[in-house]
Amino acid sequence: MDVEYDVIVLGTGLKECILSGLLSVDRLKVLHMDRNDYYGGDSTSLNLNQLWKRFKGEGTPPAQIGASRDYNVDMIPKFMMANGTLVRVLIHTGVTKYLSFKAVDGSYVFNKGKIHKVPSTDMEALKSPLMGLFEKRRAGKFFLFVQDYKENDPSTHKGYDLNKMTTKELISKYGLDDNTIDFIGHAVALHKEDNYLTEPAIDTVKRMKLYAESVGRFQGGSPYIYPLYGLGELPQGFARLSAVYGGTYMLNKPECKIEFNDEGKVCGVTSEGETAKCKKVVCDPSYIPDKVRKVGKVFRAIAIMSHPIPNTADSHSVQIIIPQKQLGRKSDMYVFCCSYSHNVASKGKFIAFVSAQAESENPAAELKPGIDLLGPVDELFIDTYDRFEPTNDPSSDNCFISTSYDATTHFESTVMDVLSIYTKITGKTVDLSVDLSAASAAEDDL
Amino acid sequence: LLPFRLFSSPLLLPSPLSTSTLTSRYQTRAHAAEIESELLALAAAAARSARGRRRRRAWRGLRRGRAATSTTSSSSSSSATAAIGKSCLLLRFSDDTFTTSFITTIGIDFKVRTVELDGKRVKLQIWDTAGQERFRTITTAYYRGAMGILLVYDVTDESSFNNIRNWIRNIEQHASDNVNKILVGNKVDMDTKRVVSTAQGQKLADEYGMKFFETSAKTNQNVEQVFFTIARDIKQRLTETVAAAAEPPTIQISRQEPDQAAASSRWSACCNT
Repeated sequence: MDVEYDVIVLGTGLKECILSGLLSVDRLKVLHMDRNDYYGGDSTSLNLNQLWKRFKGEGTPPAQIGASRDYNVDMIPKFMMANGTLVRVLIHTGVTKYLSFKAVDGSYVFNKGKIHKVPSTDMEALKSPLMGLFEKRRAGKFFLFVQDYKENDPSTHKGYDLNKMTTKELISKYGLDDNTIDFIGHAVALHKEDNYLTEPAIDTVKRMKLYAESVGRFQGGSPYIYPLYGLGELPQGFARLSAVYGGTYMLNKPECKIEFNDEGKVCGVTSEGETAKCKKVVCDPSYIPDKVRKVGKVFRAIAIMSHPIPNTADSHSVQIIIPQKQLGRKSDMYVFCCSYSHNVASKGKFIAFVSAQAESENPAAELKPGIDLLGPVDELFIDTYDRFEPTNDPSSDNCFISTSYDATTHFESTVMDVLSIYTKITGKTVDLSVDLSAASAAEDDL
Repeated sequence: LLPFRLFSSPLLLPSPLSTSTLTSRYQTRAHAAEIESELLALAAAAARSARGRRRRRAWRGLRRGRAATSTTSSSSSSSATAAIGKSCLLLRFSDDTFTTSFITTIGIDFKVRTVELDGKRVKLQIWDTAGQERFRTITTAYYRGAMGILLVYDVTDESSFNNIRNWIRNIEQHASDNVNKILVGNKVDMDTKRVVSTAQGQKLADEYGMKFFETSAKTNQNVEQVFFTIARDIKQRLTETVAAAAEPPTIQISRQEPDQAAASSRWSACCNT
C-alpha cells in the first residue's frame, strides 16, 4: 500500500519548520525533506568549517579563531521581539521548552555620524543626546498618546481616526521635527523605508506599542531576545515539534522534484528515483524556481571580531539601525552583533553582521558605512542573495511557497508570511492571544 | 511498499539534567539545595503531585494505544518496521507501563521522573528521539543538551547492534566531549529469537568504555538499573568537575498552553512482541 502524505514540506528553513510543526500538531501527515544534510536551509547557523567551505571554498579556518564546533554563525541574522509574533508562536506551540534565550543588551541608531542608544528607560531618554530638551517634551507627549491608545477604546483616540489619518499628519499634531520623526519611524517603529509617512498611522502606532511592550517584557536594554547557540536552534525546535506529532524528516535528499498531475495540481515529490505522493507541497523558493519571481537582493557582511562593537558600552549583543536618510539610501541598513556569551563563537570572539537591501552592484562598497562601525575585524565574509516571492495561485496547484527572508534584524515579517501560508493551507488562523505577562511567571508543571 | 527505504536503528535517550525548562523559582530552590552537583531537586510535595499527574497521563495513553491498535493493525502489519523499543523503555521507567502496538511512536517528547539518589531527590528529564533517528535526522540541538545518552539496540536484530558504532560517531561529533554513555541491549525476554549475545554486547561496550546492561521493557528487567546508573554517573561526573562560573541567567519562556497540556497526555508507543 502506498503512503500518501497530506503535505510534503521542502526545505528546513525557519518558515518551513514552523509550518511543519503547526500542520503536524493539526494531525496532518507530514513529510519534510531538505537537500542539505543540516537543518535550517537558508536560515541555518553554520559552524566554522561550514562557514569556510561556503565562503572561501578551500582552506581551513586559522587555529586562533577557535574550534569549529564553538561557532554557530547565523545566515539570516535577526533578533526576536520579546513581545512579537515569533515569541507568541513559540509559546503557543510549546517550542520554548527546547530553547534558552538572553535579552539583547542594546539597540542603537545611527545619527549624524554617531551611534546613539535607543532609550529603554525614562532616565536614558532624558539623558539621550538624540533630542533637545523641548523636543523631548513634545516627543514624550506623543509617546504617552501611543502608550495609552487602545484600538477598541475610542476615549483613548483623542478624536483622531488613525485608520484614515496618515502618520505624517498624526506626528505633525505634536510638532515634532524631522530628526525625531526619522528616529521614531526607523528606530522605534522599525520601518525600513519612508512610505509609512503617507500611510494610515495605525500601523506605525501598533509598531511603536510592540516596541515599548517588548522593551518592558524582560527589562533588558532593548526590545529583543536571542537564543543561545544561535538562530539555527529555531528551525530545529519546530522540527522536533513536528516529529513528536508524527512528522517524518529526511535530510540530504538531492533534487527534490515536485510532480504535477494533468490538472496542474501537485501530486508528489520525487527524489533519488522514488516518489512520495501528497496532496499539497510547502516549500521555499529554491525548490520551485519557475513559480517565483525575483523581488530584490540582499547584501550582507559577516565579521568575526575579538571585541564588542565600539561605542556600545561593551555590549555582547546589539542592533544598530542606520536609517536610510542618514546614508542617502532608499532603505535602512542594519548591524547585528552577538558573541561567545550566546554560545555562537569561541571565548572572546564576537560575530557581527551588516545587512541591507541591495541598491548597487558592489556589496563591499555599499555596506562600508556599516562595516566601518565595527572597528578592527579578524575575518570578513561578503554574502549576496536574491529574494523571491511566489507567483503561483496555491488554490489551483496546491503549492504553497514562502517568500525569502528580508534584511531586517527582526522576525515580524517572517512570521506573518508563515501565518498567511498556514491559513491558506488549512483555512484556519492560529490563535496567538497568549497572556504574555503570565507566561514569564508561569509555573513549570512537569 | 513504502516509497523510501527504511532501516532499523538504535535509539538515543539523552538525559539532560538541565535547568533550562524550570522557572526561576524552581531554579533558586534547586541551586540552593544542590549547588555542588548542579542537579535539580524538587520538594517532596511537588514530586508526589507530579507523580500523580503522570499516572493519570499513563492511563489515558494506554486507552488510546489500544484504540490505535484496533484501528490500524491491519494496514500497519504490512508495513511494520523494526523498532528497538527505546520508547517502551522510557515509558516503563517513567510511567511503569508497557503496551504493544505496531504504530510508530507518536507524541513522546520527554518524560520527567523524580527519583531518590543517594538520599537526595533528583529530577530526571529523559528525552526521546521523537522518531528523528529513523532517517538519521536527529538535530544537533538534541545532542547538545544531553548530559547522558543511552544507546539502545535490539538483541533480536543484528543490524541495530551493528548501527551502534554509527551512533557513537554521531555522538562524538555533536555531543559534549564528556557526555555519559551506557549501552543497552533490549528485548531479552525474547530469548528464542536472540541473535546478539551478551558477550558481544559487553565486548562492544568495553571497546568504547561504556557500561552495559541487557533489559526488557516488557518484563521490566533491569530498566530501573539503567536509568539510576546513568543518573548516578552524571551526578558523580558533575561533582568531580570544578563547577564553572554560573552563566548569566537566560530568559524563561515556559508557559504551557491548555491545548499543549492536553496534547502532551495523548501518546502511544510501539513495540514488537
